[in-house]
Amino acid sequence: MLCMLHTVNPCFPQVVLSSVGARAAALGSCSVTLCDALGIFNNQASAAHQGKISFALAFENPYLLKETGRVSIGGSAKAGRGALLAGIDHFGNHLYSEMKAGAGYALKLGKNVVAGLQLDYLRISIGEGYGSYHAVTLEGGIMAFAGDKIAMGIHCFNPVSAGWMGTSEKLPIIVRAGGSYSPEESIIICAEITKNTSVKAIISAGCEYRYQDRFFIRAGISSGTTSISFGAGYRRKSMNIDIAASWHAYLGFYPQLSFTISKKQ
Amino acid sequence: MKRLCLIAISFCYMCSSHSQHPDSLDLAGFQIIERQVEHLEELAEAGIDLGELSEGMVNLLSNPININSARRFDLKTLVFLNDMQIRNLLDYRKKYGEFLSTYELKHIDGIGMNTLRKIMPFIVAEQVHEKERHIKDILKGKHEILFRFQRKLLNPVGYTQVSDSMSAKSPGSYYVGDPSRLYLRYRYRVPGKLSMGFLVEKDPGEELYSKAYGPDLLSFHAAYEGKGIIRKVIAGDFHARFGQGLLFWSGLSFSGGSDPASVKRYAPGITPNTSANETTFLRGAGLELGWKQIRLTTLFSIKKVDASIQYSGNDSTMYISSLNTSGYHRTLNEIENKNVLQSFKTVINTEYRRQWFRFGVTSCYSKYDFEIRKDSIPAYTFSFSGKENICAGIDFDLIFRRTNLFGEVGVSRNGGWAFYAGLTHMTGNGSIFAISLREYRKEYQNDMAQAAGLRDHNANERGLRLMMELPLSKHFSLQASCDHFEFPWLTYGGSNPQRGQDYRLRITYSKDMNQEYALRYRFRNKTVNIDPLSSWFDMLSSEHKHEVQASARSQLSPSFSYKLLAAYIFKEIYHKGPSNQGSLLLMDVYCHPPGKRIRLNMRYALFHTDNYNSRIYSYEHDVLYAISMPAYYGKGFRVYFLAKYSPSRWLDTWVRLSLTCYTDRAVISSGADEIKGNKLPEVKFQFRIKL
Repeated sequence: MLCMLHTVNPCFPQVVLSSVGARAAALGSCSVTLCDALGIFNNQASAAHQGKISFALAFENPYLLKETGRVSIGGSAKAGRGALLAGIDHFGNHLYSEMKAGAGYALKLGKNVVAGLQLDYLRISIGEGYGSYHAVTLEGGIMAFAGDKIAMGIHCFNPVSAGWMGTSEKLPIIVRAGGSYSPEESIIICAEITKNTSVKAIISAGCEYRYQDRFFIRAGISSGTTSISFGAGYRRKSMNIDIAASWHAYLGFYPQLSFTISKKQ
Repeated sequence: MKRLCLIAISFCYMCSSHSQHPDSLDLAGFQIIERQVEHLEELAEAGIDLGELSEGMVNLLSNPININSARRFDLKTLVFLNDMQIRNLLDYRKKYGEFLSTYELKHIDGIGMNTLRKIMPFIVAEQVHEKERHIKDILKGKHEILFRFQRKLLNPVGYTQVSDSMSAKSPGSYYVGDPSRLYLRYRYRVPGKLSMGFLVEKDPGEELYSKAYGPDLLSFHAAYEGKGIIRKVIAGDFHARFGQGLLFWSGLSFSGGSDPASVKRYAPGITPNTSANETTFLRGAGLELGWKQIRLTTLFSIKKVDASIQYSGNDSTMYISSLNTSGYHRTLNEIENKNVLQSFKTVINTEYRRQWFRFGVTSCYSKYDFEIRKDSIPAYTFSFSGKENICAGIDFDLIFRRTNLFGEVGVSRNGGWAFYAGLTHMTGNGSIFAISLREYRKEYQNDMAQAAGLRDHNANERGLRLMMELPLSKHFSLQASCDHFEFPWLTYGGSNPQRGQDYRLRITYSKDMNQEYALRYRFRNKTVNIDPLSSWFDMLSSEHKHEVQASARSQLSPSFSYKLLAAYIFKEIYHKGPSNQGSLLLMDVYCHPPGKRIRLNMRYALFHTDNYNSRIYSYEHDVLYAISMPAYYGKGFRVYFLAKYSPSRWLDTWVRLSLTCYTDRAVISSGADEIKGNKLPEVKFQFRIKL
């Protein structure tokens, strides 16, 4: 399984560059317009819309294998006109692991526009004496809102086309752009397109339905590796718990769990 | 007070619209019927008469349901209303009294403008005059006689007159009859009480009257509906549909579309047969009894069906390897197979029904007079063989507030089982979400199973469907669905377990009933065998099919409307090199001068497809009760002209002339259907007498 993940390119992190959190996963990985505490991983701009302090924790277990755990942890805090954010994302075990750690700043550019920028440190380490690779790069995004109903977002990872230190290998540039629309208060539909310099463009779409203001049901589709995904969530005050299960045609279930808090005061 | 406001608002709407069904509503109605049947292209291709499906809706166009008197049962025939919407409608009527206008429906919880637009052509809001029912009502029914004649004006080679010895030498290549299609139907009907009628039909190439069999299809029925313990009695040819169709469902059904309402079937029990589909109906008798909340339906059917007899090598016993379901008896070969196998079926269904809950048990038994034995290829390993079969199952239906959960489980005699379940949820604004799950085991054997799915008889399939319909704004609405399916065991022509997806998206803009603009996209993806002939495991490739369609319908003046449609299809099969593309551009014009008794309808269509693989199906207007959905392929154009003239109240006549002209070929079709030349003209004539 791990071999399969990195046979294409030994220096190409597969997991830590994908979206984080059960909410995004359930929506077919549409995450560029989501305004929640996990935005610090998915689109840094959204941190400017969080409360005074926010915290996010996410777990993933791709295809239920014990070697493929992923943990992401991060938070943001209001600072000046924007918010400071930091997060760390880790995947794998002692034989193969990927790690991304970053810190950045998100800023309100106007009434309807927010932007965020983050400095990332990436590491891939391969066990049994193969050593590890390191890289430093940038990522950032912009979100724009038109009323309560429409949101648009764009996010770019590695716009500077940085590479792994000490090698000629480049990190991929990943651009994601998408929009969401809320036809009625309890429904959000979103769609997104992702282009990675080394992979064909992926189109994904999702729908979130809120029931009785507390329960969330989500479903999404994607033209990428996981074709269909579902999720559910529960909200109490400033706390959210979400679960998601994506379905890969050949590899099976991909469960995810995430937990967020966003304190307004 | 709220009620007063609603009425006031509704009156404003009424003033802006016509009080009775204007033409534009008729057109809107046909467009809705078109939407319902457009995904049934496989059926259309197999020559199955889709008129059976749409007849109910076409009838509703001329006799709309009065929402002030309609019962739950009547409202269910409007396929777009789900059970929760029907419940809310009835509750509203009970609480506030009669509806003053159909627009008042949009104030009902869960029926948004979106749903209303779909049912509008089929309903009216009229005052109810209580009439005392009398036994003499049975004599106050309506007679309807319908006659249809259809013929291609150029004869294919199969109609060449040849000597008996020549046709005996190649029994599959010459037709015994003439190339016209004749259809005659008589029906006497007292709505909700009595129906009697017969139907005679002959397909192109069939004999009008054969000494051995009489007319090719002669169907009759007599049905009574009552309100006491005996609810329905039917003798003759009929259909029976129960639960979600996993146990017993005869005839066709609207399913598989992108409309969330299609996730759940409404099973009407036993109903008379009025269609010319020769292989789908039952012949015998049925009885439905009702007492309080319980219903009991029982039926039997003894029918001769077409099949080819085979002889096994060792002891020369006779057996049947496959049933012929085309219904054609044109060549000596086809005639030889006619009515060879006698099939006996009997069903018992019991149902317990409350307002929010329904539970049913169905069991069916079938017997054939010859043994059925499929060819021994891997795909048929789990197919039915033998003379007798028994299946049984349960179905349930539960409504809780705005959520409806329903499903059915069936088991066949050999232990194979199948399961179908679905859930529908709606919001107050009229957004609808639906999900369905199907797991049909490869061992499940039931030739009357016809629940939602892609394979015949609901075996060897599993799948998941998601559907949603959202009113995006006042005029825009969105419909999206996705279906993921898998055939875990081998299939005929598929020597691997296969899987695939089907995505659909439709965005509609409609300002009022006179205007509608729609954009439709469909993407299908499935695995295919590189070499379909190999009968064991083989490499898989994938096939992608994109379809885009844009259409606009609008009214120019009270007597003129038009429709424009542009369709594009793109199909690629990975191992087969160049992709196939096709495009179609068409314009329909409808003309109905006000106060005149004539209606005209014309189409001009240009098509250009790389080959038959990239064909495009398009719905065409046809004479009453007929549906045509031909495949446009090759290069060329097609025109048709349809006129309806009603000289008096009791007589309607239709004439339809159509012509397909190909610019890329000198010979059309192949085999016995081959026509020399590049033109294919056809004429159709129909009259209806209503007394």
